[in-house]
Amino acid sequence: MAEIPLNTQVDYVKNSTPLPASEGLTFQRRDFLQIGGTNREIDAKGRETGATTSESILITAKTTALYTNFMTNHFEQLLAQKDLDTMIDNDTFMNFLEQKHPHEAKVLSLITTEDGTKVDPQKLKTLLKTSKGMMIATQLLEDVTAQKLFMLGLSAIQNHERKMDVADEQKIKLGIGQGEVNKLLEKLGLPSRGALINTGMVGALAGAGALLANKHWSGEPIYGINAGIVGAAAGGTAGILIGLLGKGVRSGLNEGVVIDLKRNPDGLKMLKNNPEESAYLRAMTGVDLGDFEIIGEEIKVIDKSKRVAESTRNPDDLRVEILQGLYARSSFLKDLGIDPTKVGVTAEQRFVQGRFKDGSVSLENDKMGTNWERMIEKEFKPNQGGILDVNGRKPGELDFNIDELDTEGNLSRFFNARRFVIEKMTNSFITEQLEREAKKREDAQEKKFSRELVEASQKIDSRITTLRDPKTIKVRSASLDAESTQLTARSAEIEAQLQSFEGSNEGRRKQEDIATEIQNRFSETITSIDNIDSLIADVNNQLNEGNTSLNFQLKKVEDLISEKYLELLERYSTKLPSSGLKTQPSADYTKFRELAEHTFKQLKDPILQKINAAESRRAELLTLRKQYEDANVLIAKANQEQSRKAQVDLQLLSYRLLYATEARLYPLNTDEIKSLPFEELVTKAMKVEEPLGSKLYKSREEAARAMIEARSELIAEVEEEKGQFDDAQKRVRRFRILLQSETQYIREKQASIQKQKESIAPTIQQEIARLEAYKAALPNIQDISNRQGEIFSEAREELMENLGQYINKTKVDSGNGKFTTAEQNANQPEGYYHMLNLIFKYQEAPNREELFQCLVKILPADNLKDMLAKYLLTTPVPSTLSDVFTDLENNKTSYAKAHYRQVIKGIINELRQQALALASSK
Amino acid sequence: MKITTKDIITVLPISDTIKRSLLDQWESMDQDAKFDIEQILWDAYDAIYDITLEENINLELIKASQEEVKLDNEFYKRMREKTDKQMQESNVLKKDTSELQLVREKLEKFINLNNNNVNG
Repeated sequence: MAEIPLNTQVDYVKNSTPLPASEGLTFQRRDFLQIGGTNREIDAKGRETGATTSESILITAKTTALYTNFMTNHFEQLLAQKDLDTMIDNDTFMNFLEQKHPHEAKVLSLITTEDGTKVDPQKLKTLLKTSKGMMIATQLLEDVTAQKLFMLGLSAIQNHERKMDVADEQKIKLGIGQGEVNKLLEKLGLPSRGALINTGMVGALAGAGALLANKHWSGEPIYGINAGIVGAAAGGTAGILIGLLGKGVRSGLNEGVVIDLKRNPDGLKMLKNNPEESAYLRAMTGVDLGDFEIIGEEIKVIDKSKRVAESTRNPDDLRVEILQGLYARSSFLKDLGIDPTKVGVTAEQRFVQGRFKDGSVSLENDKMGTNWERMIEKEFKPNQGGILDVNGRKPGELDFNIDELDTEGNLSRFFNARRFVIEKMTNSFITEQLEREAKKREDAQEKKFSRELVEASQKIDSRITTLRDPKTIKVRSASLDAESTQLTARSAEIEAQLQSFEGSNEGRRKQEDIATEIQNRFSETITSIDNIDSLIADVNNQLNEGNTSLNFQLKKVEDLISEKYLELLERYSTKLPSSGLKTQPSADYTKFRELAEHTFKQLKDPILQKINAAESRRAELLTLRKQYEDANVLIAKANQEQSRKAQVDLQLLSYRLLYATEARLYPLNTDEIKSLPFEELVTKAMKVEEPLGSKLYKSREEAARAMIEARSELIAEVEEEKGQFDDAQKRVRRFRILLQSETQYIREKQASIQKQKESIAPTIQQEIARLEAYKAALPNIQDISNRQGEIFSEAREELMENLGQYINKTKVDSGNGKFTTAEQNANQPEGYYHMLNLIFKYQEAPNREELFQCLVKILPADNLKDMLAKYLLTTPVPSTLSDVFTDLENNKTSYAKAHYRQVIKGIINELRQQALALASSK
Repeated sequence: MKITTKDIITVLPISDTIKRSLLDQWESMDQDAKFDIEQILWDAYDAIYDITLEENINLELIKASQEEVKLDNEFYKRMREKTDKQMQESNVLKKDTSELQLVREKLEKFINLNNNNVNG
């Protein structure tokens, strides 16, 4: 094939695969480059350069797109291979990958979709957003590109009839003229010959370098080409590959770079005997080693008729991928701002001796000073053995021969080191990612109290602002109005229910009577006439028959009359003038006529009577049927009423059951249930807890419903005791009482709503005062949290030894000189102040009075009473703090230090929770 | 006698590693972590105290049934004092209880979290 113009290659690389949408990423230079003691970059020789590593660098959108493209294509090629699960004896490709290429298996697990079928763009983006991800991708790019370079040679042999120019069956030209390469090398001041000997894919690389120089990095020195090596190699198989290529490659001025594969078939032999690597290379490059065979010492393409040539890829495609890979890597290195003269086209370049114009050689001249290089070197030198000559000597050792390097071994070790680093970096990335996720979860779950407290202060401010807004009064008023409207509607509903309930008895009785009457009235009829419809049919038949008979008889009468008439006519015709007969009948004729008509009537009337009787019978039957149907409707209605009654019974039964279940849990006594106003009863019920500690009623509505039922049940019981009622009466009365209780509740609730409406403004002021108190007390809550251990320690001893003063019930009133005016005004049992002081140490504070006014709002006596009762398990909850103190006094022998500490712990925890809850409530 | 949180760390039957870690970090520990750890420590201590007190009372009641011990108004006081003394001597704290395993796990979790916060 003729040389591909460089600009065409550029276009091809640029346009062959649309780049994914991407964005630039900013990193610190130190993320990629080694840091010296002065925070400056270190070059390959350990010297600090001028650039500081703290500078930001931009990885351009172009580079990230190229990397995304490479990673997606490469790993999806591998995933496509995953489906061919029988490719390796009794094993799967993925198993092979996990065992032999764990570095790729790890990355694959990181970026595939949940079902493992393709690359997940979002996961890949997450990886490439990190410096570690970019370094992992860079090394994979180098690794994969080097392998593709090798496979390109084989592909070219097989596909020589397509595009590639093959000198004969065992030689290929790579389509890039040596002249072009040499020109580029000369431009760089690098040796144009000699260095190229032993290179496999140098032509392709030179082409890549050239296109980068000509098109993309215009004005900048070309990267690479200096040492002129490329070896095409692959980790575990690196040696094999180099063996395959290294000795069989030469370049000529006239024919460009040529690979002569027949020179060394050993590598291919080894590869062909390694089905796993063979499969891997096929997956990655589309080139099937099975397409080649070795005859004698020569490599030949298997008879095309035996294989499907299309199964292998067009070498041009592979070449484009190689160029894309080289381009992507170079783009990344350019973004990092690495000195172009340090950059080789491939990382492997330095393993074949680089010889400069002056004849000097170097094995270090292409190191870039990157972090991943450092890591690879660390692994490569001490662990893998580093660079060796064919005699196993290291650079620096006596008799080390740079002209006879163990290139195969060096490359193999380098590949192993690089893959180790890829895997290590991937593991590290996975760990960091897991830690980040774990941290996120922890942060979400265990939001720090101290931070929340700061937020609470801000939220309290915000709530106070909202409360002060005049709109708040309107909103609350509207909310109460809405509740009142609902209650009014419910009240009307109850009223209607009660009325219908009252009326339903009377109505039901009437309906039952009607039904009975109807049933009685029609029972005979229904019994004697089994089927009214069939009776009607019979009557109809009779009528039809009657009609038929009548017509027949009438016809007979008419015939008879006609016959008689004609007879008479004939008899009298001779006696009458022909003209006179018609105009003036004789007296005889008239007489005859009357006789005939009489006779006709005599014959006709009984028949008509019979027909009329049948018609009447039918009408009667139809009426009966209508009445029967109406009666059925009434009976059905009566039944429906019975059914509704049954439903009411069922409802009452369920109420009773509910009551029976919950009655055991009421800590409220029956007197309270019967006599307390509902609002008060509901408030008490809301404090009731189940044995396991959770609230018995989840809402006031639920509690109210239970209290209404409890009260109506109690009242009903009392009524039943007084009078004798049958079951039906009991049910009715109970239901009525229930509705009446609810009505009473609604009345109370309406009154309460009215009061609430009147007190909206004062309530808001109280809320604001409470919020301000909490805000002021936040530092104290934080303080008692910080001093918790100290408070525990003291409280255990104090409450145990000096309980008397902490449960002192003497009211602090005006004139008690031990207490401030604010404390006197609070007028609480003395023990309350000592308890507050035990926790807050407020009496020692310089702002004692102010602090007390704040504390009395966040821990009022009533709350302290509840907490003491709760944590010392005092039930039922006494109504005053003094009562709790009495209880404590009476039972003090049963309390230990641990109990008292639990109280303090409970108070501290509840104060913290209340502060946060108050801040976040609406 | 008042006992402090640090005393509890010292006497609780938890591993030396956790103890050392807690004592080393105690003063500089994040306040929220410290708060949670403190409650765990005191709960554990009080649980052991409760068990010990109950055990002492039961033993004394058995003795009382054999008329070896007099039951009077000071009985509970004596039992508490006895328990206090035992707790101070740390004898009972050498006991291992399964509940303490949970305490250990919680403490380890908090210590790790706190370390991460400090390092991270």
